[in-house]
Parts: sequence; C-alpha cells; structure tokens
Amino acid sequence: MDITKEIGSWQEARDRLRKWRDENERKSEDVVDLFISYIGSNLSKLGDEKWVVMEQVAIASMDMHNLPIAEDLIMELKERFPKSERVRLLQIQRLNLLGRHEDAMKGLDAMIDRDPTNSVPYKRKIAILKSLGRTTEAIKELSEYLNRFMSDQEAWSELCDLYLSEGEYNRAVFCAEELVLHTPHNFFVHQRLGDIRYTMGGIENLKLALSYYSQALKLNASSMRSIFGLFLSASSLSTNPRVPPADKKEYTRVVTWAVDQITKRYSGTNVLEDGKAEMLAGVFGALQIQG
Amino acid sequence: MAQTIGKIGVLVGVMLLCHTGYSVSQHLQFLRYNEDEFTSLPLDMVLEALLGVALAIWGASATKTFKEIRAVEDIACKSYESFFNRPNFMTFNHRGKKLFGMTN
Amino acid sequence: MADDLVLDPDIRVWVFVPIIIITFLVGIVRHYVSILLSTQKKVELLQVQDSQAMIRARVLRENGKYLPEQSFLMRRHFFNDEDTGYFKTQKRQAPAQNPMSDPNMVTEMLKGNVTNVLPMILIGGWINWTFSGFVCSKVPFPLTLRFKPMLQRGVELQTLDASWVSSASWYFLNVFGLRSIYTLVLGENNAADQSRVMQDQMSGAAMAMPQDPKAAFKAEWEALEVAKHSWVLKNADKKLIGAFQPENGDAHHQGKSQHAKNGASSAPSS
Repeated sequence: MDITKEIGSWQEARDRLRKWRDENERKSEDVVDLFISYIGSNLSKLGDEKWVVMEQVAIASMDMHNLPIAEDLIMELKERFPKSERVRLLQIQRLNLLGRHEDAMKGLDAMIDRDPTNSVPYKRKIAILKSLGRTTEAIKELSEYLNRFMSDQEAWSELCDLYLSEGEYNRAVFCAEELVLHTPHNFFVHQRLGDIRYTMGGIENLKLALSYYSQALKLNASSMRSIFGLFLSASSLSTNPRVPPADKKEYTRVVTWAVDQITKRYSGTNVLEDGKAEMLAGVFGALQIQG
Repeated sequence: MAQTIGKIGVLVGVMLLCHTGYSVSQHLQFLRYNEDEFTSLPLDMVLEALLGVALAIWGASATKTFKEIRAVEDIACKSYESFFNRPNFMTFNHRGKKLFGMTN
Repeated sequence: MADDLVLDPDIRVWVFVPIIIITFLVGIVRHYVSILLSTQKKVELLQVQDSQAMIRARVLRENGKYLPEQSFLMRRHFFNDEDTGYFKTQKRQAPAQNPMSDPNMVTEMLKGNVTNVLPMILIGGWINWTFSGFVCSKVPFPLTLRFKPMLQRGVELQTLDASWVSSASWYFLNVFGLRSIYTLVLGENNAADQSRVMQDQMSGAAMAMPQDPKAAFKAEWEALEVAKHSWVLKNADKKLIGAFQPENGDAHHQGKSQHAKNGASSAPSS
C-alpha cells in the first residue's frame, strides 16, 4: 500500500500524522513516506506543531533505519531546544541505532540522575536490554521499575510480553490482569487474558478463558479472534473427560453458538461458498490443542 | 452535499429565530403603545419559532458526524497492533535494518 | 428613553479605545512575565511512587470484580497485609504543617501575587485615576436599577439610565471579557506554553499527590480492607449466548472452592 497515493495534500498528510500520533500508531514507513513527499517541504507552515511532527518523523525514520533524515531532524530540534530531555532521548535512540549501546546506557543513567521521576529513561534502558536479547535482565529491571511506577500500563503490557516470551504464563497472567484492572472497558485486554489462560490449559484456566472471551465479545461483538477463542475453549471443555456431564451440555451450547456466529460472519464472503462448511469444521478440529 | 444543505438549514433556522425575537419585541411594544393587555403571542410567531428551532437542530445534526456514545466503539476500530504498540519500549534492532537500511 | 444623551466622539478615541488596548496589552505582558517567572515544580520520586500506588489500589478496588477471586486477594494482600503489605510497611513522614516554613512555598505564593494581584491593583488604580468619571458606552438593551453599581462605577448619577457604562466599569468588563481573545491571540494552549511543554519531558507520572501520604495510605487501606470481591464474569458465557437462567447459575460454579466463601453475596448480584 502506497500511502502517498492515498493522500493528496500536505494538510491531509498533517492531519494523518496527527491522527497517528494521537492513536499511538507505529506506521513508521508511512510516516517517513508522508514526510518525504508532503511535510518536508512544508514544515514551516505547521506552526508550533512542527516540533512534535519533527520528533515523530525522527523516531519513525530511525525505525526505518533512514539515518540521514533522522540526523537532520534531531540536529534542528537540538538547536531549537538545547536543554530538552525529549531531544536528548532522540539522540540516545540514535546511539542505539548506531549500535553504541554502552554510550546510550550512560546517557540514560545521566538522565535518571538529573530527574529520577522521569519514567521514560528507565523504560528505554529496558528496551535496550531487550533488543540485546538479555530478556532475563530486562524482566528484572522492569519488575524493579514497576515497584516504583505501579500504574504504568505500558510497562505492565511489556512485562507481560517478556514473560510470555520466556514461557512464564502464570506471571504473564498477573501482568495481563493488571491491564484489565486499569482499562476494564477495553476488549483487547480481556481477549489477551483469555488467550493466555487458554494457552495455559487445564479446566480452571479454560473456564477463565471462556469468561474473558465472553467479556471481550460483550464489549466488542465483532471481534473474530474472541469468537474463535470462545469456540476453542468451550469445545475443549466439552470434550474434557473430567468435566461433569451437566456442564458439558452447557459448553456444547456455547460451541454451537460460536460456530453459528462464525458461519454467519463468513457467509456472503467466498470463503464459505460451494458448501465448504465441512471444511470449516475441519479447520476447527485442526485448531484444537490436544488437552 | 448533505453538509451544505445542513449548513443552510442552520443559517435559515437561526435567522428565523432572530426574526421571531424581533417580531415579539415589536409586538410587545405595539401592545404597550395601545395599552392593551398581553394575553398570548400570535400564532404565526409561535410557529415561526418552532420552525426555526426544528430547522436549526436538523441542520446541525446533518452537518456533523457524531461520535459514538459508547467508548468501546472507539476501541473496536483500532487494531491489535496499535493497541499493543509501546513507543517507549521501541527497539530498532529488527529486520528493518536489512529491509530498508541506509546505515550500512 | 435615554436618547437625550449624546457622547463626545473624543471619549471614544481617548477613553473607550485606550482602555481596551491597555487591558489587552497588560494581559499579554502578564502572560509572558508569568512564563518567565514560573519554575518547573520538582516532584520527588517517592511522591510519584506513592501516587501510582494509590492509583493502583483504587483501580483494584473499582475493577477488581473483573479478576478471579484469587487474583484479587493476592493483590489486596500485597497492599494490606499486616506484616508485608505496602500500606503497612511504607512509612511516610507527615508534611510540615506550616507552609511558611518552606521557602519554596513562599516564593511560589509571591510569584502568584506578583503576576496576578499586583498588576490588577496598579493598572486598576491607574485607570481609575486617569479615566475616571466618563460615561463611555451603552449596552444595547434596557437594564434594571440593580445593575447601576456594576456598570456605572465612578459615575454616581441618580437619573442616568442603567444601560450606560462608565469608564471604570468598562475596564472591568474588559479584564474579564478579553480571556477568549487571549486564547485567540496566544493560541489554545498558548503559543509560549506549547514550546515550554516541549522543553521539559513528558513525565505523565507527575500527578498531584495528596499533601499527606500517611493519611491517604490509611484511608486507602481501610477502603481496600472493606472492599468485597464479586466476580462479574461468572456466567458471562451463558449471558453472552442468551441462555442464562439465574437459578442454575450456582450449580455451574459450585466446584470452585474460592467461590464458596462469598458465593452467597455474589450470586444474586451477578
């Protein structure tokens, strides 16, 4: 997808960049493309938004390993805000990009000394550890960080992923639950907790997974992943020999409901034409993990 | 197209309301000069005011696209990717280096 | 009708307009002076930690119902345990009672006065001294006599219609009415402010912390202690597929030991 064809003017590009900033999108390639085709030559027209846009593009271009653009922007920002810690962070990210991780660490430590309440340098240090593959250390640092900044959702979410990559599901569940506490209206967090519980397996966990998938579906009825999760956890519960028969009947009803929903969702698209419903059933069978 | 009609609707509605206000004050003045008792407003003024309000409300609702009242609707159109994007933990040590790298 | 009063056009040129210009420019100068004088408030790491712990305890209380009981109890234990709980082990000193003993506080108060109260007194006095006693404008609608002291400060005429505005009152109207003009001129978040935000880091953690963490901890500890856990996702699956009947709701979950304890209180609500 070429973003530059979709957008016609620098105003549109500016609005798009603003939207992405607000919505916390990464989209580094598109950001850099927009900058090259529209924003770069119109920077002065942006007024005070210019500086934020420059920061955004600088990060994106580093993400794209496009060092020339990043260096120009950081230089200009540095001239305008010589004492800014945010610009300092950009410079440190540049060091990371160049592979000078030791220098970056030193810079971050200095920033922490200057202002220990600024949470960003701590997180960047952990990110460096992660990028070097030192996951255990990163987990340790991040737990220490979370002792101090307990309601940092971004960090809980990151710790959850780190634990998942280490296969420590119980601890990952703890982090995911922390996210549920902070944003219970967001179906993503419920869905993710369901994912982890389902992966852990066992009757209790499957029941919990079922509950969380149901909650996710209640919050957002169009979430396909949650319907599939509901189907999978309910069907493995209904076939589990240790589940009492009365409950099995309940779970079978959930399975039927989920299959109905999925078939309804796919009907009308060509996935299910020519009576391929059996194929879908086959897919369901293949998706199940063996309890 | 609907937007322009809506805007015209708002304009006309507000103008009608202003005109009603003016006519009411004229009417009251007229009553005062004739030293009549105020009983009720003439029907045409009441109708004009109601029409103005209706037009303005309709026009305003046709001009703007409304935001969903449930917070979930906002989240539902986001992607998994953007929700779990964590800018502060971003690392650059990824395949982008080989894909688009300009840093040698 | 007060049509008999005609104002000298010189009043417009030498009183009416100058007052607008003076108030407007003073407002702008004050804005920039306050930027010059303001210092970044230092927040202690401990304060950040406390405020974040408080937030976490609060969300646990409010949204703990979305977690299984065991998870809820585990977290409550973390905060409230007699020997190891966060609220029990973290000892915080009560803040100094007298704000005057803290030199930072004194400077802050002084700055507030210098930028807000002082210009108000000085300019107000000057305007009163230079421009007092003019009738300089008229509001285009009739007003009752009660508005006379508000709109005709400095002109005490019994017979003057209440819709006339005196110069001193015009000044006050301007002081309060120009606020939206400032946002128009100085930008929504004020142009200078914007770059100031860029100057310092975005520490989203710097939320205001209650003055006395000790008392706040105690209050939160109590609230958490009495918080009841009721698992709202019980039967979420059945409710979802529309097959939920309250009477068989309990039979389904009776195997769970952790629900046996407060099952009686949670069952009717869910």
